[in-house]
This record gives sequence, C-alpha cells and structure tokens, in this order.
Amino acid sequence: MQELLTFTIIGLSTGAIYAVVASGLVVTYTTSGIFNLAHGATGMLAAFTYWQLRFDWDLPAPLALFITLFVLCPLFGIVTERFVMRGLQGTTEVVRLSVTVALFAFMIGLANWIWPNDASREAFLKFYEGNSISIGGFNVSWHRLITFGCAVVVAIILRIVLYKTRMGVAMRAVVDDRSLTELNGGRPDRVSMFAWAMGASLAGLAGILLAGDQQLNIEPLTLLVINAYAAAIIGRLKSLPLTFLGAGLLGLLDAYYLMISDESWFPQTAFGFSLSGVRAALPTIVLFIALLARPQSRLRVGTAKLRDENRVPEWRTAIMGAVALVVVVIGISGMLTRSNTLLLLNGFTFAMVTLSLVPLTGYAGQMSLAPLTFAGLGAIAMSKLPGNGSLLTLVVAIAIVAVVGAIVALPALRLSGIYLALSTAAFAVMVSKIVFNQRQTFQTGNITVPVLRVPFVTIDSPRARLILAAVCFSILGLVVVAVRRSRLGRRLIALKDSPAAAATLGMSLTRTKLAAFAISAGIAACAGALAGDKVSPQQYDFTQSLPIVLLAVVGGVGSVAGALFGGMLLGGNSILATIVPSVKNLTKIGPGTIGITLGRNPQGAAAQIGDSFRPLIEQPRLIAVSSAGAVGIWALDTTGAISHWSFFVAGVVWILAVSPNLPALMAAPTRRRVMAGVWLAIGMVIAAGIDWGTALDATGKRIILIIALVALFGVGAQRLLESAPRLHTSSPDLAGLDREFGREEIELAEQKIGVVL
Amino acid sequence: MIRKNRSTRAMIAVALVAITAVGCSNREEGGDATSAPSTEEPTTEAPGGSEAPTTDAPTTEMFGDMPSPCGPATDAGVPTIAEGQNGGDTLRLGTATDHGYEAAPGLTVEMLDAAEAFAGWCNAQGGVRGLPIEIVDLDGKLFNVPAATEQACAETFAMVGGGWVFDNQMYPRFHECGMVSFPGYAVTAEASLANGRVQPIPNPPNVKPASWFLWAKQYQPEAIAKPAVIFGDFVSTRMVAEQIKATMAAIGGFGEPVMIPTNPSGEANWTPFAQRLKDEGVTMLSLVGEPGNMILLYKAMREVGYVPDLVLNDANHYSEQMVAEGNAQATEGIRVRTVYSPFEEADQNPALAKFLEIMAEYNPDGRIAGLGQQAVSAMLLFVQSANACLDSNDNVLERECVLAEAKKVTSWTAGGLHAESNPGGNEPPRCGLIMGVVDGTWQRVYPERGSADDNGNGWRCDDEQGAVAIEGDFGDTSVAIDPTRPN
Repeated sequence: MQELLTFTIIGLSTGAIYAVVASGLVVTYTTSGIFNLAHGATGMLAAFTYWQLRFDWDLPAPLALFITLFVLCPLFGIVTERFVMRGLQGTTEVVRLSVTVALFAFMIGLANWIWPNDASREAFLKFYEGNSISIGGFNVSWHRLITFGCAVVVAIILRIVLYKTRMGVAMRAVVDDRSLTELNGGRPDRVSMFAWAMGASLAGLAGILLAGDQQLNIEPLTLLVINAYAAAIIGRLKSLPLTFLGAGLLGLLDAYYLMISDESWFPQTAFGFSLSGVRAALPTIVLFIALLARPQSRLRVGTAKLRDENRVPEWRTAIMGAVALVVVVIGISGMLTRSNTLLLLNGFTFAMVTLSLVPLTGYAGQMSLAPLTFAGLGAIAMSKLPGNGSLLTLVVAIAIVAVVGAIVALPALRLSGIYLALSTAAFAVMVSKIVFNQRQTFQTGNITVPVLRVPFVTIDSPRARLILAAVCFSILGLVVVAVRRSRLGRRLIALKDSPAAAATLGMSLTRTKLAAFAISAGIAACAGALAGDKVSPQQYDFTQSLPIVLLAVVGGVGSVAGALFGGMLLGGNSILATIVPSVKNLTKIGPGTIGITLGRNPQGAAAQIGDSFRPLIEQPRLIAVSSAGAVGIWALDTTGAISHWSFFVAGVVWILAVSPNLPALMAAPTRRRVMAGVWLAIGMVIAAGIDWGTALDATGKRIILIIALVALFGVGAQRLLESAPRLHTSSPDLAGLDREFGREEIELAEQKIGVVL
Repeated sequence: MIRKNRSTRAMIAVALVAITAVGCSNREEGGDATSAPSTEEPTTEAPGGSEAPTTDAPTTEMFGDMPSPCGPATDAGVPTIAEGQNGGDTLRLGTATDHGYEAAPGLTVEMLDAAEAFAGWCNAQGGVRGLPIEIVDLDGKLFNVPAATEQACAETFAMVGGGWVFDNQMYPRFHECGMVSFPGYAVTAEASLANGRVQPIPNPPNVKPASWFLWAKQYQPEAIAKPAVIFGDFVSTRMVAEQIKATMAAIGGFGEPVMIPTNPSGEANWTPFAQRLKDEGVTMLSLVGEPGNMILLYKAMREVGYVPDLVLNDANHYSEQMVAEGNAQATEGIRVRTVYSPFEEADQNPALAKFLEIMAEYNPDGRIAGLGQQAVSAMLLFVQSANACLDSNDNVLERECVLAEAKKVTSWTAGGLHAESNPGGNEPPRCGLIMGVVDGTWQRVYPERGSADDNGNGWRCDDEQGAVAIEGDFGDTSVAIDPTRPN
C-alpha cells in the first residue's frame, strides 16, 4: 500500500512536467491555430539562454528569468511570427507543419552551434536544488512543487487572459476566422504577434523548468514534447483542465508500469519478443488511443485556390527526365571516388523515401511523419525473407509493407491534418521502441540487407549500386507519375482539394486514403529494401524522419523532381559538409533555414527551378542542343582535354546558366541575341578553359566560383534578353480564381462562347 | 536556386546577434584543422607535416618510459610504401570518428585531435623514419560508415587511433580492400573479434576486464549482495548490460543483478528509478550509458533519500561532467574503473605529462579526454610496429607486415599511459584502478600508490581473475572475419 502511494506521488510529479509542456502546446494552438512542432525546441533554446545568463554569467535568478521569459522569448516569438509565419497564410497544413519542423531543425542547429557540447560546463541547477519536503513518506523537491505550481498558475492566468480580456477574445477570433476579424476592425497581424510572443514565453518557461530535471541535453528537452502531445490531445487541444488530467494520467501510467514490471508474474516477453521497450512507448500508445477517441473530423470543404499548386506531369517530360537521370548518373559515377559514390547513393535512398511522400502528401494531402519507419520495415523484410535479395523477394517485401501501411492507416482514417500527422508520429515511435528493438529484427543492432540481384547484371561495386538506385528511382518516379495520371490520381487530388465535395460526389474516401497510404508505404519499403548494406535501427528512428518530411516539402512534395531535389539536398548536405569543412556550421542550420523560407515558395524549390526550364522542355530542338552541349563537355573530359574540375564547372554553368536561356535566346531580336550569345560564350570559355583543379586550391573556393559564374552569366544573359519576359501561366482551370482575368483572356473567352459586343 | 529573401536574411541576422552575444562560450573545435579530402585534392597535412627535418642527430625524445618510435630516415633512406597501399610522399593514416553527426556534433572528435597532435609531434622528429605522417579525417557521421570505409580504402595506408559507433558496418568492405586497423576503441562484438586489426587495449565481448568487481568483492563485500544494472534499452546496450551480469557471475559471490531498462531517448523523470532501487534494497548499482544520465539518477536518488552503498561504473563515467559545478555534490561517492592513467596524476606519470605536453604544443585547440589517450596509444603501437616491419622488410612498409609485428606485442602500456594489456592476444588488461569523486573532485581510490595492493606501478593486477571469460549470445560475429586474411 505504501508502495502504491509512493508511486502515485511519483507519477503525479512526472505528470507535472508533462502538464507544463502540454499547456504551452494547447495555448499556442488556441491562440495561433498552428500546431507548433518546434515548441520543445523553443523551450530548449530558452533553457540554454537562461543557463548562459544565470549560471555562466552569474546573474541573479529573478533577473535572468525576467530577461529570458519577458524580453528574449517574446522577441523571438515576434520575429518568428513576423518573418516566418505571416507568409504562410493560404498554404496547406502540410506546408505549415513543415515550417515548424524547419524551425525545429534550425533551433537545434543553432543551439549546437552556439553551445557546443562541453562536459565541464556548469550544471543547470533546479530551483532551490537540494530542498525537498516529505509527502506521504516520499520526498518531493521544491523544484517539482514549483513546476506544478507554475502549471496551475499559468493555466488560471491564461483562462483569464483568453476569456476576460479584449486581447484574448481577439486572439480566439483570429484563429476562428482571420478575415472576419479584420472586417470587424480587428488587427489580426498584431494579435498573432502577441499570441506568438506569449507562446514563446510559455515554451521558455517549460524549457527552463524541464532543464532543471533534464540538464541541457538537447534531445530529451525537445523530444519529451512528443510525449506531452498525448496530454494535449486528451485535452483536445482546447481544454486546459482535461490536459492536466491527461498529463497526470501519463505520469501515473509510467510510474505504475515501473512499479509492477519487476513482479514475477509480469510478462517480460511475448511470443519470444522482449517487452522491455513497451514502457518507453507508453506515452505514444496513449497518444494513439487518444487520437482514435477523437470525434470524426469534419470534412474540409476546400478552398478556391491553394498557393501550392502543381502541374500534372506529362509522360514525355517524365520519361525524358527518367532517362536523363540514369544517363547523368552513369556519366558522373565514373568520376566519383567509391566513398563519394556511397554518399550520393545515400542521397538516392533519401530521395526514394521522400518520393514515398509525393502520392500521400503531395497528391492526397495526407501528412505522414513516419516514412523512414516503413523504409526500416522494408529493410527488415528484405533481409529476413528467403531469396537472398532476388527480385521476387523485393516484390514480396514491398507488398508486405504496403499492406502494413494500409493496416496502420485504417484506424487513422477518421483523422486528418495534424491529428493524422501525430498518429503517424506515434506509430513511428512505437515501432522504434518495440519492433526495431528486438533480436529477431535487428539482431545485435544491425542487419545486412542483401543487394538486389538483377538478372544478367552483377551488382557488386558501389558504382553499380548507384546506377541501380538511379534506375530504381526513375522507375518508382514513373510509377508515381502513372498514379497521378490515372483515375486514382484524380481521386487523390480530389481528396486533397475538397474531401467534402469528393464524398458528396460518391467517391469512397476510405478506399482512396488506404490506397495512398499503401502506395506510400510500398515506395518507402522499396527504398529500405534496396539499402544493400548493413543498416542499424537508429537510421530509421522517428527523429530521422523529420528532416525527410521537411526536405520533401522544401524540394517540392507535389512532384517527382521535388522529391529527388529534397533527397539530394539531404544527402548533399552531408557531402557538402565533407568537402567544404568551412561551411560545417552553416550546414547545421542550412536545411532549417531553407525550410523557413517555405512561406515564400510553398511549391518547393524544384518547382521553381522547373519553371525556368519549362520553356526549354517544350522545344525538342532546344533539348537536343542542350543535351548535345552537355555530351560535348563530357567528351572533352573523357578525352582528357579538360580536367574533372573544369568539366564540373563547365557542366553546371551549361545546365544552370546557358540552357534555361536558350528559348529566350532563339526568340530574341538579332542584336540582343548576339550580345547575350557572346556573353554566355565568354562564360563557357572561362568555365571550361581554365583548369580549376589547379587554379583554385580548395573545393570551397571552387563551389563559390561556380555559384558566381552561374549568377554572373545566367542572370546577366537573362537581363540582356529581358525584352522577352518569361511567361508564368497557371492551369487554365484556375483562371479568374487566383487572379483577375486578363484582357486577352476575356477576349478569348468571349470569342469561344460566341459573345460579340 | 532558392532566393535568399528578406525573411532568410532576417533570421541570419538574428542568429548572428545571438552568437556575438554569447561569443565567449563558443569554443572553437579542434577538428577543423584537417579537412576531409574531396575527389582529387590532397588532404591538408597535420601541423608540422610538411617540414620533415633531415638531421640525423639521434633522437632522445621519450614518451613516458618508451623511447619515441619516431625519427629521421636511417642509412637505408626514406622508406617506401608497398605497391597499391596508398603510398606517396607521406604516410597517410586515417582516424575514424563520428564528429560530423548533426545531432551530436563533435562526437569522439577527441581522438582526431589527439591523432593530429601526435602526428605533429612525430613529424617534428622526422616522422616514421623520415616519412611524415598525414592524418586523414574519416568522419563516419554515425550513419555514413560504409562511405567512410571506402574513403579509408582509397586514401589511407591504415586506420589508426579512431573508432566508429557503428563499427560493424565497415565489414566486409574493410577486408575487400585489404585494410588494416589499429582502432582506439571498438563498440560491436563483430568489430572486436574481427581479423585484420590490433587494438592497443582490446575489449572483446567474451573476455571482460574484472579487476573492478574483484575490488568490490574484496573491499565492499556487503554491497555486492544485491546489485542492479540500469541500461538504455537499445539492443546493443542491452548486450553490454548482459556482459556485466555475466562478469559478476564469472567472479562469483555477487547476488543476482536486477536488470532495469530505461528509455534510450531520455527519461522525463528519474525519480521512479531511484524509488525502485530503494524498494528493492539495491546495494550496488552500475549504469550503462551516458554520464549525464548517471548525474540525473544521482540527483533523483538524493531526493528520494536512498543511494546504494556502491555505485560502480565503467570508464566512460570518468568525466569532467561528474564534478562540474552543481553536479559534484550529488555524485559524491561514485566509483569508476579505468585502465588509463588519471589526469589528476599527470605530475606523477611521465607518459601522461608527455601526452598533455604534445596536445598543448601541436593542437592547442584540441579537446583532451581519455579517448585521446586511446588514440595516442594506438598511434604509438602502430609506429613501433611499422619500424619493426621496416627492419624486417627491406625498408618497405606493408600493411600485413605491420600487422604481423603488432600481433607479436603481448605486453603494452604505451610508455606507461595505461595499464598493461595484450594487444597481440586480443585480451583486455588484467590490471585496473578505481577512481572516485571524493570531496567534489576525482581522486584515486584504489590501489593506493606504493601500498601492498599496488602491484603494477600504480595498478592493481590479478593474473587469475583480472580478466574473465564469459559466455553469451553476441550475435553472428563471423561476418567481420575474412578467413583468407591472416589473423
């Protein structure tokens, strides 16, 4: 009995930690309408700042607290709102969630940069460390009581602020309907700013209280928040009392589990599998159940036009792209060292995983935070199934994981948006803790995934594996294009555009969603099954999935090219850090920084680049010219006329600076054509004519040179050809929706329908 | 590609302000000195690497009680490196670390720092018989071990002084290119039992150092009745916990240990674990994992008001963090076994003093840690074996020959830098010492120098039970063994 009482008190004290984090989540959501995955990271950054002021610079605690919570945190919130979040209006939930993932990555990188790991740094002390009082025979520290007190006081104050003050009412109004608030004379921008400032301060408070228990370890400080989501969801992201109840429940569950797990009757294994990971997965299991207990989400009616709209891929473009990718990889792979070949191979593996998000997230608008989990399952299946890497084994592995994907999606079908995203996160954590943690799956911590055996070809070198990966990516890319162009593809788009309309028209949302999940899981499984090397469970951890989702959106989750771009960015980031150590610190915050700019380019980077190439792709003659030029430069290299580096520089300048300008060049008047042509020719001569391998002594300088050359000659030529501006045409279905009809369009329309004025 | 728009610039500006504000705490990492090579360019040389003196004055440089193996060319001239083994004007040695892993930047970079300092010191004396050493940074970034292994194959003569967390992922590539390795540490059972390698302080899964438990049995007999092992619940760390359990059983006299798994991603609250230790009446505790977690558990135990009679951990807990301001009070009384000369005794140990001197002179920005001592020990063993190889092999440096010479070394202390081990026989040291936090600082607890228990120049050795064979399921370790290569 005494034991039960003690563990009850312990459980409640753990609950207090969750409560203070979860109430911050609830408030941010109520006041900003954005589900902030970076909440924990904000708290972590605040904890570091407080440590800096309080323990390193020895400021008195009240002053340090005041500066952190009432000056720096609100400032940070305001900056975030003004420069990041405000640009996100009118984008999809996927983009909004991804931007918070980007903030998360950015802040972790920043903390690592400013406060590198240092064992001898002064400890982060609890408030009144060493003092405790005895409750029911159990010592509770003052810090824990303060934590609990803060949670309660904050809840009460928030209640008053939200319901009794003008600002609070305005905040809720803005979340409810921004434009309506504006119509009634509210100032949504200012209100949002206030909400974000408040949210950041709350995150900071939680971070500082948590750091007393956790020290300044970045991982737990940010990831404990995932557990706190369970409590926030029990509170339905609205009710603070229910959130507190949920937090207490989580803490008690954990404490009771620990109390009874050493009893002799308690099962340690089930069917030969160890149950030791179950306790770590408990909060996510609660999260999953809480999500399932949510009422069916209301079907979204859809909006007229979202800012991230992608074109339907054409077969011609898709096949050309697939062939070009394989050809380019074959060409380049001969020049890479085996080590860099493997790094590029990693990029392709990531690209295949990001590709798995294209049908699910890009087309169907369903968010998944677990793509790598399915890749991990694919790797296990490939390694455990008989056949030693035969094609049949691959097919069976993909099929099995696709079925698993559909089964996982089944209970989550009623959810949408962030709730769906969270349920996939919960699934990912559960699999990491319970499935990947078994001798039967990852043996002693790693397994060998056999290399795919392709008939008539031996895949034994890294180069062969790289080419195989490029071929597989191309095939999967074509599959995705086929899906998009099929009946199913149109259903997926309908699901994203307006679930309500789709359901009204008699479309089965359930079957469509299941198909999307199965396809996505299958593609991710394929990426895992093609690993062809030793893999560890940590590679497929939930935390590794977050950057994948982020970079998929950064690259452009609506298109195959975007997936390739995102995957390569993730793989390339590590290649870049290897060859240019001076940018090492920049690469820490690089992906996060790029992601933060998503508000400006919600379609992703690949779509932007694609836009500049579009006029080129539409003219086969010019594609031939462009390809011939590339082959020519390659030939110069293979014959030894120019060095590898000159090839690389010339190749990039040709593809990025010259090729996109070709259509405008052909269309321009003679004088401009000659001027721009000469300018580009000078650029090519400089790029190819100088042996950059010896002229510059560091790779970093060469990369800066390449960027400079592309900018100078590419943008320069574009300026010279300015008279022929690039046309941006959006899909005709959207004419009149995203902008007003132009004069020509009105005339054309009138002509078509026979109206004569 | 992506336009740098106003919001990006604003974020960077904010970041820069933040960084300037806390500039004083932003310590430079030492690992930047060597850049990883790209496809064609030569690697940046270690400090002092380019200026190999040609004076043939006999070197009197010592490393502890061991004459420095480095020096200028002999009468036979500067050695050549065997065909196809990445020879050239320098002897390129790869040091494996995971310092580029984004989530934990600087992971094990101490080894690279120490290897670079060693290269600087060695080259100042002439290098390996006139052949300057060049350190190649083999950054596994935790998950890029296969690529880093390929880099080793393409660019280095041997891998010396490093280690990767997922070191089993280097096989079979490692064997395919005929690489040899003198690792500073090994993590997985596969890597510890592989061939083609000599580890200065071996740590195979089937023979475990046991002098720490012998000490516990002899001096804290009442504490060993009820031991507990707390571990992060990864498959790999669970195996380490099982090995501790098996070592206790092999020595005998210990109670059946309570095995307590924890969440490897971190715990929200360590109090329930402290409470459980209290409820079970645990008298001896060992934690497998980060020292940071031990500190958190200690603070929780203090709160609960119950600390087992003995907290005895492995060498990774001999960390500055344990005695950092604000932690030392809680961790008072912890005991840690080590086979390295403790930094507190630098004035009594010439080898350790030399190590610190070399770090200060050749890599002053480098991090200093126990891992660095491991790296230097591996470097010394490698250079000594290389010299022996050159003597027997007509001044030609060849991988298998260096390895064979190293295999002959059955007693090794790196000039007194650590306890005696048996690299050739792949056996861990049979000696050890116990450090403890006493009055807020790390101090030697056992054996007292010069006492009857000190039977190995400051170490307590036991030929019988200093290392014990244990049995267990270590997984399939055959994958890392290439039977066509010599042991």
